[in-house]
Amino acid sequence: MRGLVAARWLQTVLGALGLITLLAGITASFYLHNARFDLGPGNRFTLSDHALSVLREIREPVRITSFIRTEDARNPVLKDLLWQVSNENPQISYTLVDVNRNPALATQYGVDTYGATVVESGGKRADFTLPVESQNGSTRCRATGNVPWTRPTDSRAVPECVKRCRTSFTTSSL
Amino acid sequence: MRRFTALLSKELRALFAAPLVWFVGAVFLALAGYYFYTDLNAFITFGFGESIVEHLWQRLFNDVVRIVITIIPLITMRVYSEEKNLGTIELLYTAPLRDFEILSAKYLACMLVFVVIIGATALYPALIYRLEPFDVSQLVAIYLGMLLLISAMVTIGVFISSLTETQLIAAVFSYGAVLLLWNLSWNEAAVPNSVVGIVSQLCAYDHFEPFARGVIDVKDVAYFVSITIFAGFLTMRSMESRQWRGRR
Repeated sequence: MRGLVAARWLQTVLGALGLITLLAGITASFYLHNARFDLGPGNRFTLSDHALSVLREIREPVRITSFIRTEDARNPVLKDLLWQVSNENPQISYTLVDVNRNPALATQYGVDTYGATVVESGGKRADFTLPVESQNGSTRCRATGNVPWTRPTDSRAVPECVKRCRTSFTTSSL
Repeated sequence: MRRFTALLSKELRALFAAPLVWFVGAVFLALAGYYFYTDLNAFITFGFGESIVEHLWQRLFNDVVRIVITIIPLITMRVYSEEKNLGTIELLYTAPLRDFEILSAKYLACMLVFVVIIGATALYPALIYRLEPFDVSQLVAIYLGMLLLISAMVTIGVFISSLTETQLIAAVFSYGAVLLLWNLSWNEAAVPNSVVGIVSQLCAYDHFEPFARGVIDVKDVAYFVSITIFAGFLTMRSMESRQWRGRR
């Protein structure tokens, strides 16, 4: 009888593990091949066709390091944006660094503000402030001479900034 | 199907006949009304230079979901525990019903309670719409997200209720489980960097937040459906275990 009960328990545990694996696999495949329906005003949380074309043009590895504060309420939007960007092109990877937890890394990068983002590619580097940290009503990309180039909190901003920063890689020594 | 419908209407009668659902609904709507007033007031007063309506719904329904999480265990705690305590579960198990039909009827009855409660919050957008018409598509995403979240958490509550005869124990453990699932990634600073991504993928808030912004991602839908299926599976195994564990 005890053997039967043990066998039932084992069957239940194995069934649960199998189901977890299956569901995790399905969820992971949707994570990698996500479909998005943006019902928000102005489709602000979806990359535009122009942004997608910019991202698809990238052929060399680009690493984005964003310095954040963990408790910041704007982090989900930022994470979502970077996830979309990296999901579009495997050449792009991103890391979110909590400035408070990694002050040494922030110092090493010369970063002293929340939302500061460093784009690195081919041994070159460009810094900019992400849209969520925009100032004076417009986002600025330091790599392009502090020129305001997009409206604040526009989710299409990062690809544009990557493009501009990449242009600046070739036109100036950063 | 007729037996299933009969069980569903019995579950609904049991839920709505008890004062608990009405008290819970009243407290929920009082709190939701308070949040609606204060959130609207805050956006009108300060503005934050943003679209008032868009951000109002985002903020309001994040608050509303927090109240929903608090009341879910109060609705689900009795589903199996009460029947086990009263001994009526034996009648149910000996009735010509499959375990899946019993579970579906109980789950659906709880969901219908929440559809009624959540449906009442549509009054707030309706009030604003009457004053100033706006695009309601963001609300479609929000309500879909809430239903998926509630579905996942109701199933967890139903599963925990199937494990015990004591309603209070079921409520406390359900509350712990749904709150943990909701808050899992809130203190990211306490989690090593290597597992932050995994924790974030398991956190219900991280999957609901896009819905609040009006974004429906298939990956988030898959997350909530997966939890619902998994908790449903565990409930089925819990019901089935009576045959070999010799317990109710």
